[in-house]
Amino acid sequence: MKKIIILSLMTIVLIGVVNAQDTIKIRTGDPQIAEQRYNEGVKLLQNGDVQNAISKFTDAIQLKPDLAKAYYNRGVAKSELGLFDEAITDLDQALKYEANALYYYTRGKIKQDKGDLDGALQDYNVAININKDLPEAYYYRASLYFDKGEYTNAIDDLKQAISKKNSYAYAYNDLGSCYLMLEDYDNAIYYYKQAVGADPKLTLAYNNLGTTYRRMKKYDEAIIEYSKAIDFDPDYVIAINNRGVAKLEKGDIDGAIKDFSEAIRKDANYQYSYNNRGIAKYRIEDYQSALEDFNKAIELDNNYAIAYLNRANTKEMLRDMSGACEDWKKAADLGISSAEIYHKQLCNK
Amino acid sequence: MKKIIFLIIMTLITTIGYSQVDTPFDKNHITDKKQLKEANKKIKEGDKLFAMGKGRYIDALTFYLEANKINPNNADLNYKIGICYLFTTDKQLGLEHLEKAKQLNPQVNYELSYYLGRAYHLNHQFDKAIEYYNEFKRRLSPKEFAVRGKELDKYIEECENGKELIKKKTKVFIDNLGSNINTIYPDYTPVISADEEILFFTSRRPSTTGGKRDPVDNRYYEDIFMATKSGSDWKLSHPEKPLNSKFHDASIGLSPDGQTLYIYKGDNGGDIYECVLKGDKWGKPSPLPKVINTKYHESSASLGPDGRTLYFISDRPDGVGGRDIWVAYKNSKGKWSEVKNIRELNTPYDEEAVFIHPDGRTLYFSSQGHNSMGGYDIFKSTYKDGYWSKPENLGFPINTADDDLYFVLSSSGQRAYFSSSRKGTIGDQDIFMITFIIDKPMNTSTEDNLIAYKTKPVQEIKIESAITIETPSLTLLRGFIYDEDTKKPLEAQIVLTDNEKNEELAVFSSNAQTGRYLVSLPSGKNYGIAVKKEGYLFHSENFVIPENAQYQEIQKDIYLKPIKIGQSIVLRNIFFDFDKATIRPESKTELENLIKLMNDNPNIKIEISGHTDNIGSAAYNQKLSESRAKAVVDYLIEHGIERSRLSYMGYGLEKPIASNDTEEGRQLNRRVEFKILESN
Repeated sequence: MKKIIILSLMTIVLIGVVNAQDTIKIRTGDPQIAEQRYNEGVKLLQNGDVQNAISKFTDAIQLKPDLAKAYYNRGVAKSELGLFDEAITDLDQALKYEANALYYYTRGKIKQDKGDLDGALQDYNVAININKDLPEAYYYRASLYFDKGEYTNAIDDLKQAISKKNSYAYAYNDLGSCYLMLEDYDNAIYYYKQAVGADPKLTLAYNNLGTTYRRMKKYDEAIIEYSKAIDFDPDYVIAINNRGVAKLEKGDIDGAIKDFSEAIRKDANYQYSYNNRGIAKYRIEDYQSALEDFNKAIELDNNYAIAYLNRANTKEMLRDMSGACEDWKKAADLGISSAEIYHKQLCNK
Repeated sequence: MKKIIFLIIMTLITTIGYSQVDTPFDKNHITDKKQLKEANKKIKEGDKLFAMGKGRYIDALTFYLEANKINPNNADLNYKIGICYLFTTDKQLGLEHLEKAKQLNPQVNYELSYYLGRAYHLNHQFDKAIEYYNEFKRRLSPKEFAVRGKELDKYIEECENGKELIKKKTKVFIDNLGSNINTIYPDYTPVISADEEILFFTSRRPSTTGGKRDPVDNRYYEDIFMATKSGSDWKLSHPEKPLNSKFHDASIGLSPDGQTLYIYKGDNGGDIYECVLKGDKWGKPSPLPKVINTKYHESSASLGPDGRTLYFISDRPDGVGGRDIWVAYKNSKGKWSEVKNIRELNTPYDEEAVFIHPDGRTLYFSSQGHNSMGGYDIFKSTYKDGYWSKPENLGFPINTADDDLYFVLSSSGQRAYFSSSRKGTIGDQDIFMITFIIDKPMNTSTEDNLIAYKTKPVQEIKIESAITIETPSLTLLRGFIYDEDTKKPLEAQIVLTDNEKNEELAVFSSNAQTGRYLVSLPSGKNYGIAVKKEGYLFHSENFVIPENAQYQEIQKDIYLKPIKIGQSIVLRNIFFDFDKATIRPESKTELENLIKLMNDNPNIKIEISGHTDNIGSAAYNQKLSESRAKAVVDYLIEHGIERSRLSYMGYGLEKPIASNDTEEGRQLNRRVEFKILESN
């Protein structure tokens, strides 16, 4: 899991650096002080010295207020520090002096990170209109469509991204995810496999492949894929938990309990594995122990609706009907309709 | 080192194993003369009881166990203890003693592999049971096989059924009703009122009337016991004559309102009797007519909620085989007339313990046939579109390899009562309560990193939909009937009518002492209910219960008004076409009740009044209500009531009896009333 977080952070940084404008060639006989400051800023940014890079870009802007590249790179640097509003202001300035696709795309990405999804979409649209060969713009616009549940639009964009950059592992993974959401499992498997083909260490794609097989009830294949993800990253708690669920659904209760316990050992605050282990114990009629797991899951997340529902069902088996009714009520209040039905039919007597 | 310790232990176990050899009860093996004499005495006593049959196994066991304490390694004694346990209190101990008998001496008895088959079968180890049944079959001579082969094949078939049935457990709690109800003797045939307040059952305990044993099976004669609900427990009473006699008296069925008990008596090959509760006294049991009771064996009876359909068991000729389920119908004169065999439910084996749920369409019964896993299993069938559905085995653990009988389901469908000799019995058959649990899906939580660049995973939210909880299609109407003036309980007649067919469905009575009444209303009808008693105005209620209505209980106390000037009642079963004064045909029964009341009380003069809700103008409502009141008066005149005794009035929206703010209130306000103006 940690590896994934690091990878993702690295991705953001890399995209920023890759998109940072190159240095400017200094002409002989021309002092070009602003350009020199700008170039020093680029080097600092490339070396990860974001704060000093910002100072250099500011110097360059003071010397030459229409130097679009300096605004752009200062914006990128500020976004890396999480100063999104300031970053967007710099990008606005850069675009004022030079309206290019990269600037629009970068501002869109910063807006997306900031949570301004409509603003991001508008910028990506403009970027793509100006330059139809910018794979990242397609990729991130696809992620916006994905979040909105517009999977076919996302698929179109991801395919565009791949056509511009055919080893784009992330885009293959996300394509697989679009098909997964559309329950087109054959295509999901195809693109997840393309993703690990492009990047054999893309652990999350193995996990997603496992989930696709699990949804197809191909539990043995699912377990194999989850295991690959875990082999690459032994701390990948999500995959360990998912493998446990695949085993549970397959009927391997012991194996499932082992995985959930392992996930809990890796992350003692991972409420989902407590919930799932509770279900495994419920299946073997160890209701008391199941109850303890559901208690823990709820202790970690007191709005965990599913855990309330499961705990209610467990309390019923322990013949604690008042406790069960209380939990069905809570789950119903948290929006679970089945809990509302059970409460109505079994508790108002 | 560990290996050495293991070897030593294994050697010891083997030595002990070999040291368990069949040890006779003689002076060569039991040196203590006193002990030897004592043991042989106990065995002799035990053998005497053992020879009397299953009814005395529990007594024989006590003696055998005493002897077994002195010498636990006698194969024959272990064999007999095993059999005693197997058919009384503990099937697991039965199996253990039979296995020990085999270990001590595999030739101890010719029947050993048969009883081992039974023991494994009754302990639900079906593969082992089949092995022993087959082993026993192989040992039988052709002559013996001709006699016993069929029985063994049936047992093997039951084991095969058991292997399937046990794969999926029915989710239930099964509780012994406890020592307030059950004893070490057979306690069985629970019958319960629709509201679960009254329980009758049969017991063969020493305290039964007369205290004598039936020479046929050496068990005490059956007596009926009654228990009433007291909080979460039961308060037991033992009715005397005329309910119980010194011979067999068994409770076999109870009408849904708890006012009529069906009992079994051993006369005439076994007959069904009916006994009616008057206040707190049971009337003399009277045999059902000869169309139901024959010279053959009749047992088990269950009355449908209409009071006109009786399901019973009989082994009379022209059935499918053995004891079968039969149904009798009452004719329009109230006499039991037509009787027919429900062939689609019967098998060549015995059926027993039939029970029709108060919903009138779900039948439960026990059968040794169909896909029983052993002995009697409980089955369910539903009546729809003129047919009974294929009997469905209620599954394990409701059914076991032993007899599971006398299943009765509460009106709500949430609990059931039955008798069984399963694990958890105090002794022999006991009465157990089943609480049904709906198997609810459990919901896992997973998440995935679906979007590669995002660290935040996407949670898979897939919550299993709720399981539909099937409840009986039934409304239970219950309460008490009182005199409005004195508030004393009344014994009144409750007439249930199908308004659409204008057909009287059933007539019940409230209890004379308590005024308590209970009526089951299966879904899918427009019911008119008229509560009548001489000297009182009748009270009417209307219930329209859709076909898909869920189970509900309605508590309604009814106060009857003595006939006197100024009294008025609402005629709830008079219906009009929408916005018109045309009386609908469904009103016929209510109007007939009114005509009868006028004819029975020729000195009264009445006013019929019409009332509306507040929808529409006052003038319009006044006109409509007056037209409707007039329509009722015209109907009465047409049917022979003197015009001079009748007047009518339209009050429109002036006299509401409920709030006009709700639909329920408005519905109550739209009504026709009658009022006594004069009574000479």
